[in-house]
Amino acid sequence: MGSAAYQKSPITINQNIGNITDGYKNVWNNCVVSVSDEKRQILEWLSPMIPRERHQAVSERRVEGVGNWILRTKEFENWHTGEDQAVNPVLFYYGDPGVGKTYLRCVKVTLLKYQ
Amino acid sequence: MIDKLCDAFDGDNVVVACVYCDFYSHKEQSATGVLAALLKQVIAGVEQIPEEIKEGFDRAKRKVDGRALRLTEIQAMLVKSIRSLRRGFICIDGLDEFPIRERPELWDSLQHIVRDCPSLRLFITGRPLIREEVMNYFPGYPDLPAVKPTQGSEQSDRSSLGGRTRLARPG
Repeated sequence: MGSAAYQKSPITINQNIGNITDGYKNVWNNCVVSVSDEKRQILEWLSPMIPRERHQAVSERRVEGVGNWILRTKEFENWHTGEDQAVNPVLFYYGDPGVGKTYLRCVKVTLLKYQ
Repeated sequence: MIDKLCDAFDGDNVVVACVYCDFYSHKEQSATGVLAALLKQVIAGVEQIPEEIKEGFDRAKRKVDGRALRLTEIQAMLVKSIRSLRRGFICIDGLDEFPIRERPELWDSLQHIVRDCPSLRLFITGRPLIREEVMNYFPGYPDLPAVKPTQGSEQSDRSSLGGRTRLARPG
């Protein structure tokens, strides 16, 4: 590959990684290793799990609206908005099978939305 | 849409890491696997990868049979990474489906991580049979009024607010 073509190599930005602004970071043995590439490799090395696929699978099984009530409880509100030491750091939500415990997807969105 | 929302907020020095346990999953059925999965999500949300992780990765890459990180190493990296965040949330779904023989190790790790990361919040779901375990591994936590959902629709959920959930508080 010529140097001109090499310089125009496309940058692949991993969708799991945000705020990647500089894809070209290191040149090593004629290979450009971008930050996103390095980060992606490290993430893959850490765990084979792909959270989004799991979220998707859970979401498809989930009945719309089931479980959303917990997001409106005072306990949940205190747990996720309180930042001082007095706040309960652990929230345990329990129930028998089929009562809608598996809806972390909406919990996750709520947590991120109000930070 | 939801994923886009998550991406939009992931850059605000807040990370939400989720793990789903189930009887049919084979990859995350160890404490090491769960913590590694959480660390992966936390690292994906931070701007700078901790040097220890880079070094561990480089060491593994140099060796043909480079070893994976140990539980204690992952735990330490997780603590360090979460402490660099403004807020950190760990959600573990279906902990009752996590193998019993592996659970003590996972509980121990979670105890340490919660203790060492003041800005962390831990959300656990599971069947009632693990309530005692929660109390055992987070001693001194009061048994507060909680909400237990009923089966069915959103409407029936709303009508069940007189039930119970359980909150934990450090002693």
